[in-house]
Amino acid sequence: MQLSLEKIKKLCAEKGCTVQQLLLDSAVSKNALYSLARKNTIFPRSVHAIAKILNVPASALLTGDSPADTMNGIIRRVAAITGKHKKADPDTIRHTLILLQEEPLDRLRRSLLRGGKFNILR
Amino acid sequence: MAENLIFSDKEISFLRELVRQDVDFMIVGLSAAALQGAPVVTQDVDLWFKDLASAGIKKALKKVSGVYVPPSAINTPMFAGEAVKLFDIVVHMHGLGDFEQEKNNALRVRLADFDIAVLSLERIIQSKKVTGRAKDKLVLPVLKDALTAIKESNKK
Repeated sequence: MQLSLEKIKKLCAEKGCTVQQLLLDSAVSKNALYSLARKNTIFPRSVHAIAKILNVPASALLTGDSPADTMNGIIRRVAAITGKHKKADPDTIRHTLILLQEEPLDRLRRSLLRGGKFNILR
Repeated sequence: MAENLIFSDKEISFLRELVRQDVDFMIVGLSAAALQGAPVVTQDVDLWFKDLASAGIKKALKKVSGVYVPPSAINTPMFAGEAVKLFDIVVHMHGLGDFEQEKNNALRVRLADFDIAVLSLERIIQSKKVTGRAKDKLVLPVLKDALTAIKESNKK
């Protein structure tokens, strides 16, 4: 499984940003990106070895993002949004992005739970 | 997941029954904003009814052992009872169109096993701008930034 520069460029075009801006927002160096893109596979050799024995593609061994990955993703999105909307408060953007990962009912419960304790912004 | 003890089965049963009885209503105010993802806090869930005299409201109240308290010189219309104490009745939204107009543009949000009409964040912001109370002014920047985050997320 290779990293596709073409796909990244296409996604950037869809989002209306340049690859340079993407690298800036995601705090990834140009060298790191092109180094990854040159590799035949982005998986370590050991992952391929395990997948081969199990007779599945390496991608079948993947699971969802770790909590740290999820939060890093949110932090990168906060940077992208506040970069575009200079007056937006990063904390509010971050809290909203976190809440968007929950079900509406859970968002409401969270709001009521906090409102019951502090009685602010009612 | 947030604490389940608040807004539990009894409150959900009331809303489900209102929907089942075909009562024309929607969730408005900060609870509507919270449902959409805005990081705000609130103490109640505001329900805007098209017609408070709707028979369906009485049936839904009966189902959860709640009662309707009509308006008087000292109180606005309200519900009483364990299952409905978190709900406030709204009869008018400042700065917005009439119920029909706003309902047409309301969002449909999934709650448990049914969909419910929820006033959009754009319209909540509009209403709070017009109302202009101190607490509305305080929460407006949060609502506007939340709307920005939601719109940007929807572009993904």
